[in-house]
Amino acid sequence: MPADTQILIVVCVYLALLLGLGALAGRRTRSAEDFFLANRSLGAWVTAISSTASSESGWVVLGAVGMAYVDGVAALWLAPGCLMGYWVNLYVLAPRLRKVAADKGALTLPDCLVGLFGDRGHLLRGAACLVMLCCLAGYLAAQMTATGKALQGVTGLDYGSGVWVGGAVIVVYTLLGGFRAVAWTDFVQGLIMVFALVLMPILALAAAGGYGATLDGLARLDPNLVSLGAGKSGFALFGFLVGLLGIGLGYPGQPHVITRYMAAASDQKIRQTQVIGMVWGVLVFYGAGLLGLAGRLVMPELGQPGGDPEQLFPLLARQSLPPLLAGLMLAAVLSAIMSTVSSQLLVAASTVSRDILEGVFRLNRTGKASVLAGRLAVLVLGILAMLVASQDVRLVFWFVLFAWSGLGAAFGPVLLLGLFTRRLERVGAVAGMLTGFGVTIAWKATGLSDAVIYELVPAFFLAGLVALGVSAVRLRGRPGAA
Amino acid sequence: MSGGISIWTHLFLVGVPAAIVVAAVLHFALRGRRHAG
Repeated sequence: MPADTQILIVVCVYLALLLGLGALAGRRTRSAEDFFLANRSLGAWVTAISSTASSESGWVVLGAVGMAYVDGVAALWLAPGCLMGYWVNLYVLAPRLRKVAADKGALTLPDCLVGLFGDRGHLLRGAACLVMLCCLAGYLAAQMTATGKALQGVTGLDYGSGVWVGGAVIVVYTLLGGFRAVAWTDFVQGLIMVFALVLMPILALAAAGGYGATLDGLARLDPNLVSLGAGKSGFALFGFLVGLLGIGLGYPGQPHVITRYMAAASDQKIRQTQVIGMVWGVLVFYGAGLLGLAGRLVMPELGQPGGDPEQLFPLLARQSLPPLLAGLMLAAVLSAIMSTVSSQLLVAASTVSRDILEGVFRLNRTGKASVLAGRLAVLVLGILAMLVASQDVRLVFWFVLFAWSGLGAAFGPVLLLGLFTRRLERVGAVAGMLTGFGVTIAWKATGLSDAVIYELVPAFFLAGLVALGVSAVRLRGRPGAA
Repeated sequence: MSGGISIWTHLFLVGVPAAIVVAAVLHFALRGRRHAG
């Protein structure tokens, strides 16, 4: 049987498995709490691996590998940066967020914020929904674009068909099984990702002569490739390091990631989630980095004009593995992308149906109507994202540029301050969210991200300061204020 | 280990991830014992 056919069979089996999990989860979905939060019943492995898999899109198997290929050892600063984000999420945020969400009966991030600060005239819920939809809309369309391109590369489908086939699978399993389907499929996808990012660097390092020979080979190519500062100095080095380490600041504000902690079954599960999540993160980030480093020696042609270092992972899999295993590796690329899309799609749908229709307009508040509204929102938003992606509208990529930072700066500081201090109140929280979102856009649009520093860093800290400042003014003189 | 590469590079590539994994496992084990106690 030709290799391409075998790869195609593996990918089809993988897509069928996702649909099967969606159908299975759908049979257990009866209430709004089921559809939006799996009835707060997730075990430790599913909570840990589904949350971490949904936070890493195709960026980790394609972009991070390519970055290590181009910049060498210094690119691996992103690993401690992201793992600091994991640490904050798993050890600081998750236990408190799970407890608050359960106490307040919160199903979504805006629910949680309203539970923490109260709301009047839907100011807080409205601002949170606005920021989430602005960021997630572009993010979703861009991830659908990535799904189409990945399916095009793996199966030979044309790009438009890739978008519709991949998008349809995601929409169907999300629509059927809601949060439970998304968590289960993300769990399977996370396992495939970590298997691939352990196996591929081992193969690449072996092909390059081992760990020591890889570093020696890189040093011979260019000593800067084994330097911790990539040969940079002064402000350039500072900006480079802050840019990579600062990525971690975004994690506590990603609604599609942190809602998994709200769905964990107990505190005991969260404690197990912590260790599983950290080990998964170490394997994935260092695996991607080591693959990029060894890949520079194994496939030097990707660094030449016309080559694309971000294609190292799929090309090396096809070149060095038997077709069935190569198919599984290529499914890992799809997994990385699809796990993020389904999680974002569900969060966007919950924003529309739960927060806007139910929370603001008081519609569909019974269990069955709420689930139906959630499913319709998944369907409509999914089709819209596929339509935009199939047209390959360039504007969406402008939204993606600030989506991670916008969500991270808008929600991270407000959520952390709200969960751990009593110094924040409703209007301060809204001011902080809008500041984080606004500074991200302004910083990016004026080119300061490239010229000075990664936009998330100033936006995150300014959002926290504004939230605290406005709250301090409003709380002054109130009895019992902290 | 290769001769011409700085010890810091080795620590960065091998020591940091190993330390993170050990810390996470130890934290889990010690908290588990405390809860059991």
